[in-house]
Amino acid sequence: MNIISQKLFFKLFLLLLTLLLLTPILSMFWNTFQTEEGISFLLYRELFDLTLWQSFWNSCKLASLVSFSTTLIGALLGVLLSKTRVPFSHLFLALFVTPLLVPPYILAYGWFELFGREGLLGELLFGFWGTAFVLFWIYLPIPMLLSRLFLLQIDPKQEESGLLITHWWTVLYRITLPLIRPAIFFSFLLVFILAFGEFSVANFFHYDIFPMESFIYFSAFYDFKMATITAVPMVLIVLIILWMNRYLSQKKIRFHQAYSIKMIDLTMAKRPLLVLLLGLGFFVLLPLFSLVVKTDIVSFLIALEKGIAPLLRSLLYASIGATLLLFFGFLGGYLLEKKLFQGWKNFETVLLFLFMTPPTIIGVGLIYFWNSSWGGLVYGSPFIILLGYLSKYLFLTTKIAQVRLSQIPSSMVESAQLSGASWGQIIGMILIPLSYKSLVVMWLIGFIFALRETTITMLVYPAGSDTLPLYIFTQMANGEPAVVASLCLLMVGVILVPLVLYFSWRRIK
Amino acid sequence: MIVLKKICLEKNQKPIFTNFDLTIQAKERLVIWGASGSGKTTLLRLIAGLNQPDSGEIWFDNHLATSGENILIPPHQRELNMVFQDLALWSHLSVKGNIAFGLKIARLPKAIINQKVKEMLFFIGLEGYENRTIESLSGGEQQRIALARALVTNPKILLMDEPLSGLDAHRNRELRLEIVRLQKILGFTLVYVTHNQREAEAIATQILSL
Repeated sequence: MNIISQKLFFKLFLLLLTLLLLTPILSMFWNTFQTEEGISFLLYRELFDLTLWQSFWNSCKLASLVSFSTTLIGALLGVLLSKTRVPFSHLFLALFVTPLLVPPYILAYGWFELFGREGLLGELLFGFWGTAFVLFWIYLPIPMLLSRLFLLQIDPKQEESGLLITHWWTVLYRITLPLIRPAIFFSFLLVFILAFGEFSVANFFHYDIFPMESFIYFSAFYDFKMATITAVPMVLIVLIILWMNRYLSQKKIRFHQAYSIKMIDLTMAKRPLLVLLLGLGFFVLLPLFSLVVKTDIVSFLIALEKGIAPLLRSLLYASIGATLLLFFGFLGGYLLEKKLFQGWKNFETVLLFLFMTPPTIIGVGLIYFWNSSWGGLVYGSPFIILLGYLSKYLFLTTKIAQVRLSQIPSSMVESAQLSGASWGQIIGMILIPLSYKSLVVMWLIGFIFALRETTITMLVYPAGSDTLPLYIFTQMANGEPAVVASLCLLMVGVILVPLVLYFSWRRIK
Repeated sequence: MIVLKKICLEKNQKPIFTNFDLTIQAKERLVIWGASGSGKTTLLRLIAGLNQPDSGEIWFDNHLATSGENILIPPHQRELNMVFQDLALWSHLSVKGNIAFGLKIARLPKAIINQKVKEMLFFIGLEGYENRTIESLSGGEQQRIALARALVTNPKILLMDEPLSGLDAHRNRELRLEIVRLQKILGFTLVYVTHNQREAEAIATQILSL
């Protein structure tokens, strides 16, 4: 396969992705302009309904508070856990990441089990503050992990040369933090848009947010056009954030092999910081503990019996979804790294757009596109759920692949090229074997995010194809609390087991 | 014979080559010597077909290989191989896997591949190293494996990009002699890049200073 067939292959790849992932959303929006009188913006006057803008304002307030607080504390946590020898730092890292990995409403349910609906705390929980509080813990890992990732890219010599002339705090403030500023900036934008689009927690705490408008128009009235029109402000926000990310953070970040981080000597502060971390960790564990307390062996067995079929379906769909995310993600990462086309950056932007787009929009788009005379095979099968996973999470696996491929010296590829290897052989014989650890991580991330996905699945799943998160979500309304708590714990366990296995494997290796 | 005609190339709006001409005779040992940033590596990459000039032509034995920005003969059809500065040994493959890579791509029978790998290892004085991992080799041994990998497919031209830069003076001298010995036995054209003048004088039949 020579260079021409490589370009042809990737053109077909892009065409396929455009058809599968982007066309549903575009056609959904195109539909809103089609009226009986022809092409018109007439329907968009509905957007001027003031009641709609109250929920929009609610979402803005919520997303702003969550993004500010998580970015501030998450970045500090990232620095603290990465740059200091505070005891059990890896354990704390794993603990703080856990809320991001489980379906968001499970944490909401855990807090609800703890505080109930009555009393000061219960009343606070149901509404703005409770929703913001739970979302804070869910998105806290994003700035923490991104800060850590960027800290690993700092050459220790840069900090050491500062240390020769001043003390640690100045180096941290003047050198380290400016170097990880892109991570902090991107985390803020990412958390803002994810919190803006998150639907299940606000729904659980009966807080009126904007993504619910679109969801209600679709699920209660099956009105595609209004569901789409009410999604327009969300899409505009995603586009504004994409623009901010692209044009305000001009500096190109190249990820190389990680450096060993220059550590800060804490001495006196070690103990107070440990107490602080234990306090924060306690808040992560509390909702999970409340679920443990609520459940008992009998309820757990009932939950297992009721939940086994949705669980097996979840595992099956997540495995296939993760494999597809791995396959397409690797090819996407290769395309981005090789810059095979002039518009390669647009491909990245489209994937980021889909990742940031609220899941309700993706779900409604998929239904609108595939619920047709020719799309029945997809619409009526779990394949539509897999398309939802691909749309939402392909950005993650593509970026991991791109970063890994960028770390492989180009001379390794050129050496194979001079030996006569085609691009397919180079991928198969050089790049894949050299990236196998990243491939495992890509699969695992795809698996976990597919496993926890709820909103898209809720909208698109065909009859008899419900997944465990969906089953739990429906049981929350009228199920036996102890059984629901058991189902939640089952879900958490299923997500954490592969992670524990992975880290054990890494340790053995 | 390799002929470069009127090569022009700019990088970041800075001219690297302007109407640059060069003729490399078959079986000679041309050493390209010069300071950092003078375009030594770029010249090797242009010959290999890994980069294109803005304009100019590169000929291989009366065949036009590169014309301006068009690569007419792709790198793997130029009957050359290259030892990179960072050696570019594939860490997921054994010593044998690295050396045999080009032979496997050429779909040679397994028996011939094994024999050629053995011969090559004998040539470079590393017999019995077939199953060793790349990480287990010393710097000097890695240089030899990179050399063996480049030579196993019998290229007419061998391009070497500062292959000895990471070695101490003793090892450097030892491998220099080895390269000259192999070039004399196998009869390939050697284009060798270095910034070390002593290394250049020890290897070259002709020196090009950039």
